[in-house]
Amino acid sequence: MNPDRLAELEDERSFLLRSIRDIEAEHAAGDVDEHDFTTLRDGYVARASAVLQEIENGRSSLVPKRQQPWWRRVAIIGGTLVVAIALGVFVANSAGQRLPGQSLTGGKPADEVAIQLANARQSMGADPKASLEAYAKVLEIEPDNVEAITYGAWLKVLTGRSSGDAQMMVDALPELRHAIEIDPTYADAHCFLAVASGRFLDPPDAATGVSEGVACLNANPPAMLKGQIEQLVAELQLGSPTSTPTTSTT
Amino acid sequence: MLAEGLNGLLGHTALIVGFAASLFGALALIAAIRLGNARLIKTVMPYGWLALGGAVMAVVVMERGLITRDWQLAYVQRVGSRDTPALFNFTALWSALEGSILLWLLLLAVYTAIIMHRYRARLADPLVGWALVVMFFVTAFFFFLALGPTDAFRAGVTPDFTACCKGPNPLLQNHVLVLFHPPILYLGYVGFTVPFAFAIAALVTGRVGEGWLVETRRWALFAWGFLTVGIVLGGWWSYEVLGWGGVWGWDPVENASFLPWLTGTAYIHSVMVQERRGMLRVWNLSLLVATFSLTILGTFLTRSGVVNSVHAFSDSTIGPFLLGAFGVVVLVSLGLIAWRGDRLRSPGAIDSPISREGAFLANNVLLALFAFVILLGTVFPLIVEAKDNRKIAVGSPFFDTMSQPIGLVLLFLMAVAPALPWRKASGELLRDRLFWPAWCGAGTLALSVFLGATDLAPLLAFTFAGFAGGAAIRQLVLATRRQGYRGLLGRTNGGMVVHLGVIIIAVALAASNSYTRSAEFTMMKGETVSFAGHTFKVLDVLDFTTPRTVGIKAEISIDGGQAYAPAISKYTAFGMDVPTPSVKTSLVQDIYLTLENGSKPSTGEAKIKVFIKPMVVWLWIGGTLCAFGTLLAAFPGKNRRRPTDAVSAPIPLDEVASV
Repeated sequence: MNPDRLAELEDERSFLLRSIRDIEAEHAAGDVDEHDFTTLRDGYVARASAVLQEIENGRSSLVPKRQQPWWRRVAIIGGTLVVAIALGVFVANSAGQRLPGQSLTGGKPADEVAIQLANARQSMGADPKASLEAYAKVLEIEPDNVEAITYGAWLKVLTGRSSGDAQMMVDALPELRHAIEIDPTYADAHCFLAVASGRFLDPPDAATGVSEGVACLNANPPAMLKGQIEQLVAELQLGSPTSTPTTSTT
Repeated sequence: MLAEGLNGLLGHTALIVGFAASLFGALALIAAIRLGNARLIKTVMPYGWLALGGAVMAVVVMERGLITRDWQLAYVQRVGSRDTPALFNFTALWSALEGSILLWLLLLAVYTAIIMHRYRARLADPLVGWALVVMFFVTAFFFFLALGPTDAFRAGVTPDFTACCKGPNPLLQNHVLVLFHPPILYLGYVGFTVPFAFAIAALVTGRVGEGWLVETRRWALFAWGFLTVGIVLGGWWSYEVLGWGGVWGWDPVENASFLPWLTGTAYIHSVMVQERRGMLRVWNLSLLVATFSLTILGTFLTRSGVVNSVHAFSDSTIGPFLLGAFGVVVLVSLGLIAWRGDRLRSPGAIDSPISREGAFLANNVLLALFAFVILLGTVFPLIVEAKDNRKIAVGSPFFDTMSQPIGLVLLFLMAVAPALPWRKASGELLRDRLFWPAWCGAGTLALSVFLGATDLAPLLAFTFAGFAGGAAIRQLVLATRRQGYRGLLGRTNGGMVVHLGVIIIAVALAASNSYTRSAEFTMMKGETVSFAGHTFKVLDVLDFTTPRTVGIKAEISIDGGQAYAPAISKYTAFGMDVPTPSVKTSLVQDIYLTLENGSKPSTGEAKIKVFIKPMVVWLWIGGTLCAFGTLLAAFPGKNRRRPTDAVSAPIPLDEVASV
């Protein structure tokens, strides 16, 4: 039976049962005489009985619950779970640090740069490889991003030095020079070029170390670099670099 | 705190009257339905008109407050100013939370009144009665929000004009689209209340057959159309105002509008399966519940402060109420569906996946998956923050990566589904019906390659778009051959026009996202640069001042022709820079110019960014076609059959066996 027809019958049932109650109340109040009461009530009862019978038949003719094969149910639930878990893992891997003022999701391309820069800064100490990858992503979007060029190069210098790969270190120096070309006022690039040239190269390039060190100091470097660069410049001018700066952060 | 003025008093009175009328309307209707009392039912109409009157009056009073600069109202202090031009002063109504709830309320009261008037002769019908009960309750809830947590008529403190009364957010007083985008989007959001109300009424009354679907078909269609147009206008606004050269950034507000659009789109397709075959009853009800509850969830996401931080939610005045309403809607709806489970079983099953209903089911699964992906990406940062107190963001790449394959498969289904008959399809029939569409797809691919298109994803998008476009045009040609201009009317044929609009939007998005080129130049006055086959000459770099802004603009001649003037305006009251891009539009590509910070009129130096964006104008053309197609779909086509009659006879068994 069509559910709409069934609902109509149920409405009719409600009406008839209500009418029976009403006529009984009116009869009890003496508003309806015995004969009319019997006639009317019997009529309502007969109609209600027919409707109830039809409802009963209608309910039994409703589409029975189909038994699905167990494997189908398992496949649907399993498939849904797999998709949900895969999406969960993917979204977790796609998430990055939210910066002040940044929205929960999406954003302009520039915001993606900010996200990747934040990721790179965050992982710089613990996971230089991840940090390098984040800087590479920034450079895909903004090839002239000075921070990404500078710190990407600096990470290569540090990695080359710790792994004994001198060539990797040497190859990173032009990238620092490129950063300086793009923004001569960016102190960090001058500072790192000074350290790499004056302290890490073998033999050291003292002239570059001094000139870039001075440029770094003139460009208002971060406080944590300033002392080390002053020491480096002084040592290079004296001709005896001794210690290694430990900074690897912004 | 200032004393309540005339506007505050009138506004509060209007809201109280509206709230009481909605609540009494709902209660009176329930009593009337339960008691079968026809006299009581007649009392309902005045309640509806009174609620509408309350909402209209509240909005009119607030507009009066804005226009007359009634500084006694805290809301006017927040979004009003002495300098805001008349247009933006008018639209300031919906430029902040409290006013936008008033707009929502007005539209909801209008929908409720229209439904009440439209079905005035059938108010005693329990289906209509319960639907109105739901609408009255939803209206009462929004009246309650407007009276309590988001009281727009609250008296303010004595205004300190050095700090307050700056006008609406500069981004909301910078383009005429602010007049159209929010109201049209809200017409879509609020419009889905009507089919939702009828769905709940069908569950309450047990009339879960196809009758309620037929009643609400056009309402769902209009709501979907408004939502579509609202979203497209939002993209246009973003493109014209925000100055980043894009139309869609997957931010939470955009996602909040896209989620109900996806489930609504799934519904207007799957509803046809129920009408024709009586199947997917639970699914259709669930889609409507999902669509309505997602509009509430979207409002919660965008209005509770939770987008900035999950901790802002605890300070929010409206957030807990919206979240509570969302929970009530979901729980009540699921409870009703479970209660009526025995009547919701489908009388039949899908005979073959290669059929119209099979294609609709696949389309629905994909749209639901798409909605889940967007919802997951949007709420994931909130879940992580609530659990680990860690602030994370899900960037555009996640959404782009997921939407590309889903979008491509949906395009493919748009090509195949119109060619499929109901129940079963034979190979011969498919070969015949898909012949020209397939050639259109192949031709589009060849043309794209010839024009220099590269990369797999956009090429697939163009190919499937050609295929789908061919299928839609084939359907329209056949229909107009048979019926003349009436072949464009009706749900199927109007739907094909909407398909064409969506296809055009998909192609424009694929082209503009994949082949946009951009460059930044620092140029001096009189200098010319070449980029992407165009020349850009800086004619002048100028300061300018308006009553509300100071700014810089550069006049740039493109290809030696007309001068375009991208600008940056600083809204002095806010200290906020707002870029104003300048765009040379053509059917092939937009040349989009923005002026960057660092430009100096004193030295004649301009920093400009140039975007060459192919086919952007087709986004707006596609959106217009969607709106036009929705209108066509709303008019009845040739009345060949009752809506619930089958449209395709089963294919004879011997024919099936021979395939």
